[in-house]
Amino acid sequence: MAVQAVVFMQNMPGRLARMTGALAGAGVNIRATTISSSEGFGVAKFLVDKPEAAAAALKDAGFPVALKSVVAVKMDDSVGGLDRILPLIQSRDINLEDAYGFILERGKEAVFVFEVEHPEELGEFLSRNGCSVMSDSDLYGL
Amino acid sequence: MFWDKVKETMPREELEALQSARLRDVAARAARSPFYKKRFAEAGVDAASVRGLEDLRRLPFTTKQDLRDWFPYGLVAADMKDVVRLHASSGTTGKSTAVFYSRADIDNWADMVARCMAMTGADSSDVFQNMTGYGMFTGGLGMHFGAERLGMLTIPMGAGNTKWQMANMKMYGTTVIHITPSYALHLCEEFAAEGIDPKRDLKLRIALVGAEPYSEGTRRKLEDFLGASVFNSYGLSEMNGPGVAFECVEKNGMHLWEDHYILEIVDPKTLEPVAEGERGEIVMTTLTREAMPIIRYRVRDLTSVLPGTCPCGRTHRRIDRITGRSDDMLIIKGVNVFPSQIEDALMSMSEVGGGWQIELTRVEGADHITVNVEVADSFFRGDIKELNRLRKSIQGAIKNETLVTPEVKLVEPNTLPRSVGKAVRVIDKRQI
Repeated sequence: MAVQAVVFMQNMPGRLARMTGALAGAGVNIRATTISSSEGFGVAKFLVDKPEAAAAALKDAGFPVALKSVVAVKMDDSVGGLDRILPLIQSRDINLEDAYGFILERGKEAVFVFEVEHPEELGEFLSRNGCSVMSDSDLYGL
Repeated sequence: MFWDKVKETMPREELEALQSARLRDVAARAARSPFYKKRFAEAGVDAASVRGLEDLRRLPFTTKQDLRDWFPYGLVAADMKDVVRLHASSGTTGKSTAVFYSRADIDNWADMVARCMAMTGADSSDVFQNMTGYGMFTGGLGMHFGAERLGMLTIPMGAGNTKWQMANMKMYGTTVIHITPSYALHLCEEFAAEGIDPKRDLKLRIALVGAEPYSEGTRRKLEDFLGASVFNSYGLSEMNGPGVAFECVEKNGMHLWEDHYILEIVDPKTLEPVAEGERGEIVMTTLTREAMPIIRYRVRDLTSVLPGTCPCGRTHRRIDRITGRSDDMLIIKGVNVFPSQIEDALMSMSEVGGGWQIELTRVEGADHITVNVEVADSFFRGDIKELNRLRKSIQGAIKNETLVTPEVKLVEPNTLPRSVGKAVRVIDKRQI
């Protein structure tokens, strides 16, 4: 199961730069990142090429880090790309905890990343239904 | 202006003779409680050997911890059938303290409060609006009974509900209020926002302000805006509640009712009496209490006794404004809070393991408490909802323990400032 590094931080200037500094220092390449903030704190998610190394570097920098499993699906970067996947998920009545996407090659390929309660199940289900669910090595080797 | 002129202006020798006689009685009464029976025995004091004030310093001190350790009934000296009321401090666990009153205790308390009120110029023709909390806290009922004793028309509003407070002040022509300084400042803002000028639109003439420390600057501000004379008040639940000491019209220190209490000022380190007029910790002995006599109670408030006599004619000594505490107790929105209570609440939660810190600020005249809590590395599992649940449960746990609802901020581990060896737990940014 592919994982991303999830980091707790205070909502204050300079925190993100400290994280990217730690990641750069550890030779970690960031594929995609999202940040959400709540009452005075935030959570940053990093999809990277070396999640274990990323987690260690961020911990060393003083941040609480968790590695969370995700389901990453490769799809066409074209109209309706995402709309072929989401109805499938809806048909299983699965609630998305978080989701985001990024483009690999303009007009050709995009990746969508889902965070759900039971990622293994969702991964298998989407594979069975013709989606291109990425393996760990696919994802980290992008 | 005097409620009980004989007692209030009693010559010092007579007052001290009365104290001596009452100390004999109260020592004997106290010895009937399980706590003092044991404490006196440990100190080698036979209550029957107490003849007067000269024996006071042979008696052991009593602390808040004693009240907690012997909660709830350990200090009750009267027969339970003669106990008619209790008031309690905050806290839902073992940290509570409760104070018990007999019918005579309630009566004496009302009398002292009536003295205080009369001393400020209030009388039976006044309309009194009591704007502090009723219930378990002493501020509401204590002032209420005193106001009725004095004969004022008493409006038992309690705290909050500002619009209704303002309407009542107009409708009933309120002339005297009892209020905390922070709520009074808030009230002023609300009046201004509603376009009400108290000097023009109200009949207010006296504001009894207490339960929290405040400065002369706050007094002037309130007096200017309200057009009322502001009087400082002192009290604590262990010694009944409000009405222990109060300002007279001279507004130079608060007369403490020495026919009901023995006042000592001691050095908090040596526990020896300070020199006349020097600052130290207040120690008080109840002289007339029946249900729960308390001997040489270390109040922990710091002040000094003002030298000389007061032009008002009262012989009871005056204490200066309280300038601090000799322990770490905080007064937040009028509620007594110990940092250890917050620590207990936090440490009862397995998710919290790291540092924490209390930050106190004053927002629009009201106390605001923020508790910063470091998120334990091991707890974080990457879920923002879980963090928000944690925040809410920390808030609930602290509220349960202290009755004060804090803002809870989650912070990164090892980010809260630590002084050498010992964490700085309280940052008090309030200006008083």
